[in-house]
Amino acid sequence: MSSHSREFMDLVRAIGDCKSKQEEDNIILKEVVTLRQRLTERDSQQKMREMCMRMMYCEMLGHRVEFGYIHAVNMTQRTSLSEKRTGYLSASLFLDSDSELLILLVNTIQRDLKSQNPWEICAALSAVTRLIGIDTIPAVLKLVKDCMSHKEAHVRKKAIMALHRFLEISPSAVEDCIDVFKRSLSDRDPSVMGAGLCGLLDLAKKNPAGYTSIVPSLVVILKQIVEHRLPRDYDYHRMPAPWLQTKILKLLAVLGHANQKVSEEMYEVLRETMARADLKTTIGYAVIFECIKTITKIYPQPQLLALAAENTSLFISSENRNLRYIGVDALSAIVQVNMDYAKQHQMVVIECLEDNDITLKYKTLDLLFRMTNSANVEVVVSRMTNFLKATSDDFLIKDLVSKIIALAEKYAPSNEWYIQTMNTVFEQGGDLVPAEVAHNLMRLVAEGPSGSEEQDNELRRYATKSYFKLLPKQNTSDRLIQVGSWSLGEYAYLLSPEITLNAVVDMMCDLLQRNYYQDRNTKSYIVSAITKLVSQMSEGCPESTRALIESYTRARDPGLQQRSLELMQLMKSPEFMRRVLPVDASCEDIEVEEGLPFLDSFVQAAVISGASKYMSEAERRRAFGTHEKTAVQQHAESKLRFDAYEKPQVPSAPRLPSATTVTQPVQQSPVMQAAETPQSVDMNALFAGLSSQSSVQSLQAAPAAPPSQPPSSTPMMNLDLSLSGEEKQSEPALNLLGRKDGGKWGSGGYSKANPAMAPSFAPSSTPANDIANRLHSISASATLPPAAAVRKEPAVDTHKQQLAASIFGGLTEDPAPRGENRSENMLSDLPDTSKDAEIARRLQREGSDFLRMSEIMKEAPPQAKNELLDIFSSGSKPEVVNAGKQTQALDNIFSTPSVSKEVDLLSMPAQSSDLLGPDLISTAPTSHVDATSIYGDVSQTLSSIYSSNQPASIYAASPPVADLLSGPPPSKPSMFDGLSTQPSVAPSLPAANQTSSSSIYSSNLMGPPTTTAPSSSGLFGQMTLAESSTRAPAKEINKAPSNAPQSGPFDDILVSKASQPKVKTTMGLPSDSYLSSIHRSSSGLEVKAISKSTGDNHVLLLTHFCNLGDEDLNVDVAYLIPSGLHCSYGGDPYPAITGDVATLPMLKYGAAASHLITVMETPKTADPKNLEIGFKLKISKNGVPEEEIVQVPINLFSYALFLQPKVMSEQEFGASWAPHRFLLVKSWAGLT
Amino acid sequence: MIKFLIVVNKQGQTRLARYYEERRDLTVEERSAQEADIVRRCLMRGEQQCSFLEYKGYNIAYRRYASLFFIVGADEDENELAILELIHALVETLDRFFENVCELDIMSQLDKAHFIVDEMILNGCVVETNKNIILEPINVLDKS
Repeated sequence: MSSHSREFMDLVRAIGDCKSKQEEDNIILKEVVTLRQRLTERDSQQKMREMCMRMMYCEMLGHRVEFGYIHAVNMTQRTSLSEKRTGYLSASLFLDSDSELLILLVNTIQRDLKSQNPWEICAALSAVTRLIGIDTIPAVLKLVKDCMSHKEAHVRKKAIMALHRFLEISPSAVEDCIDVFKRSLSDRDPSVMGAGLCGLLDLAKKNPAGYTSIVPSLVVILKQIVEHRLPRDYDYHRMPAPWLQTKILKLLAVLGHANQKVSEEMYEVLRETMARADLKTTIGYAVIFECIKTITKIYPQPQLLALAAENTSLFISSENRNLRYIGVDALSAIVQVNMDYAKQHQMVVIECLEDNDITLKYKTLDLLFRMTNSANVEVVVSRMTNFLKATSDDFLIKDLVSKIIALAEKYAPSNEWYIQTMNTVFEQGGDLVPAEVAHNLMRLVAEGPSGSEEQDNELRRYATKSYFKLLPKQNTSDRLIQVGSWSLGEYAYLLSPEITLNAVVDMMCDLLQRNYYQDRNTKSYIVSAITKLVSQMSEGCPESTRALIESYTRARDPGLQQRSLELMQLMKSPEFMRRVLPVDASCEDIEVEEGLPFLDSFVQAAVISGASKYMSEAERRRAFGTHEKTAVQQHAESKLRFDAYEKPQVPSAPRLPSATTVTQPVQQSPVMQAAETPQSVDMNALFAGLSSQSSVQSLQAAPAAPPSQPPSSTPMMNLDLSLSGEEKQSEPALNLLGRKDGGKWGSGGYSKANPAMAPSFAPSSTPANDIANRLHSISASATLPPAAAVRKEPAVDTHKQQLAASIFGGLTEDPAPRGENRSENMLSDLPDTSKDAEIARRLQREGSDFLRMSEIMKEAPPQAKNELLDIFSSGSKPEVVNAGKQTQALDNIFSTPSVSKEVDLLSMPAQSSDLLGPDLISTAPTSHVDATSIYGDVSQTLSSIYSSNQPASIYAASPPVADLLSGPPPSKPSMFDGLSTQPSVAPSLPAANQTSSSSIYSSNLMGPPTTTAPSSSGLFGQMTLAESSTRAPAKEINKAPSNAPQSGPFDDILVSKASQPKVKTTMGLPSDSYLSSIHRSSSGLEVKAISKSTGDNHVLLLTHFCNLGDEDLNVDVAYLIPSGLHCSYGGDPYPAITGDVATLPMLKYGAAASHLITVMETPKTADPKNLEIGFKLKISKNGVPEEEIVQVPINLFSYALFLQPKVMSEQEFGASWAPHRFLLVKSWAGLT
Repeated sequence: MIKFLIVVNKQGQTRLARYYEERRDLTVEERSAQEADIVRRCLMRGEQQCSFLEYKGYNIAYRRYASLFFIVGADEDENELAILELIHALVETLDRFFENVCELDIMSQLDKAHFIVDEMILNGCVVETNKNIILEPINVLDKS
């Protein structure tokens, strides 16, 4: 026994004497400090071995000692074997195969592998098994191989384990020395042979057929072992080398699996091994257990199986708990082959089931799971649910839930039982239950499994009633609330008169006021259900409900806010609401026509008046192929720009402004062609800003908009649709993904596949099984509906998204269902024209979205038709421009690698969750009268995408970025003049149009299951509505309330339209406005600063403050202007700031305020790129002097943050920042 | 595959820990917390209950010797009974080396205890159970 210093022994004793973890922590914390000090002292070298052990203690007890790692590495170079080994040990405990210090270690390892002292080689080899990674394998591989011929068995054993390690981490690196493992079987040393088995097992698992040749050798070896022919010191409790036996048995199981010939070779030795196992020792049972596992795995032989079953009885009837546990395991293995053997043990099994030992119980449930059939399913599942109720272990719950669901779907004896079981699962499993299960259940209720309407209704009544009882319980899981809300929303009418709709709505209102933490969509589900119920209530909505819903119109969650706003709007017109939300129409089909013939005349008219003709993909390629640029060039060009900004120019020719000044290559899509008409130029100027300006976007629902979209801008707009379709995905929507095969409930679809369905909606009406097929076929032709593409993983976190982005970016062997994501991403990689083509291809596919409208047009009475055409013509011009502008914006996005990443993220569900975006929602109540809104232009979608997760209240409550455009500072009239005239079309629209547009809007946004199937809203509601609004006589439509705003941001614009002459001007490029800074304080105040150069040495800086916290804030802002910089503050509608400190009005939660600063001159001496304006925030909450002073630098000329994904990483901003990114992009678009 | 071997006393204080997965999977702090959690679960189980439990996907087998729990976490391929006996083989080996092993022996000669474990388990596989062969390299150390 080696002697230790007193210091070390004191430490050991102190740790040993600790009575609590706390005490231990204190000692170790002190020790870490001491070590840090001691390691720098000179005499520490003598005591380094002890130092290493002390460091081992610190790490083992949970405290890092990174500062000491290097000493451990150094110690491996000592000559003393003992020190060397301790050095290697501590290095392998401290370091990983990717540690930087490993480089230092490899050299020492190499030297030691060549040592004359076998123990040094062994020490090095031990470290190799732990530390050598893929990168360092080549450095030592040859030396390790050489060790295989070392005369010392210890060395050979460790060397083969080192090779085993290489095999694990990099099979290709050791391909040429696989023979080593086979050869090890004939090594004269049993230990080396045993070590070789580890590698052989791994190899055989990957390629059983390739190793069947070693079976005879294995059989011989096993026979030798069981016949006691190994040296006696290999015995353990009189069993000869039992671990070698189990290893060989494992290998035999792998090699004999499903191979009769090979299996036959081993029957005899298996029998002998079992017979010779000592039943007086535990290890004997271990060997028998391994034999049983092998026998059940290989090609079965009845006698052997009988023997195995007999031995299983020994286990399972034993009083020893461990043996009984193993017995249940063995029985599980045997019932896989023959169910009958379980029967003789049924009483013991039941006993195990009743046992108070959770492990045993759980193992038994696993056995039952394997034995379940349609006869015993009810018992088994009830056992499982009982266990579920008793346990709190998440891991077990998850496992059990999946088992129960599998059984219920496969063997459910009745629908009622299925629903009951699922309810229990939801109740107990909570959010550990996968979302698909909920969707399956909803679909079952919606479709009705029997085919007879009466029986289906009976089932629905049963389900709905059970939910009515279940939901009010406390601590109900979110999933159950979601399923229940949906069912009640759809089918509560079946319960009346027993339970009135009023009672249901009251109950739902109670639910709505609870807190839900698992899933933020839960409340949206509830509001959707209330919406449906209210539409069925003849007496209208109770006042209390209205008040409650009203309060949620300011909710932070955009989805919830949106739904509440929708309901508020719909309630204004009960009759209308009924038509939008027909009762029990969730499974209705919709017929649409694909040819869009109704638009033909419009297209012709547009062409006659100067619009460019639509060019097919091939035509465009021919026309623009020469402009093609490589992705690399694009990338280079999209980098930071240092040259001076160009002044806005008045175009002399009708040419799209972006084409002249854009830095990134512009895609010459047909949309832009359309924009290059004389009329559209000024409109472009007018609407460029408008296009992404939230307040003007008002009620346009992107997916609903297409019908009235002029054909020339069709493609781009359809891209919108695809994006917004994606966004909808992670909204509370029924996910009707087909379940695993064989499921009783998963097979049938509930409606005919409708090939003409708009792609973004298609999955909703497609039979579940069909979806997968469609995914394949669609993605093969790069026309995958995005909604379907993302369907599989409703909630992918950002990390996964990024991973996905990187994977798709590589475009290799992508699974087909991700096709959409990939193509989205590919857009950024493709050269211009192919990008163009890609877009066009997608757009063409999306074009079917127009079909709905074409139907309407066909059926509409002449008058309504005219009105619709009115909409087209009045809106077409700005729309064309908008589309063109947006094309450009899109181009920029796509051609900028980092942004395209954003776009790529968008195609993933989690990010794109909140369907249409809050600006849409928030503006809905204030301005419903915008013709352009009907057309669902690209910008709308962009903005909705980008703002998707942003609490909409920001927009609702404040004049955000967009106001910069409508409220120009006096000093810069030229820039904003055009914009101030923007929505000239809005007031000219007839009321009927307003209504129809708003109706499209509302219907489209309605209901959680918007995109997906069993819902009376969503697609179906929309369709119904669209038809009804067009079919209805004009006078009736006119009666529908107009939601035109009486005041609001529009007023300014409208007035200025009247008073100011239109100025024909082109806008600057998007690239000259930057999101300079973004900051979020701990009290929840979010600050964004956006700078924009005006092209004549003026810089506009817009700071935007928004309270996203939970409490009201008082904020003082002090701007810190560098000397030499002249600024003016304010400018209508922004408050003037006098002095250095501006006090913002009290910011209630969700409220926002903005400042506008015009930086007049930049000092000639200063480098504009480095100029920074700072500001200090003094924040106090509730008058409590809780102060927070933050300084936020604003680089006036820095590039937008979102162009630098690294800066915007999740780590830096936290997950909650993800939505803000989109807002940034949007703001950016708004500024341009 | 054996994923880890830990020796924890009944207060939840780790006395020896060896992981056969990459270190980066869990931080030092997380490992320490997990070890305490596992031993807590072991302690919750009565004498009459079996020596196995399921923990976050690991099949855990444990054995108690006086105040020390020897705990091995493995994947489902491993024969749990054999693992249980492996623990005993390890304890027997420690016992032979330290002559009536006690908690303090393992603590004061932590490196030796690690060497013994390293001789028996490499890459998560049982490589040696012959006590003479296990102890040979370690006895060499003491002589040098």
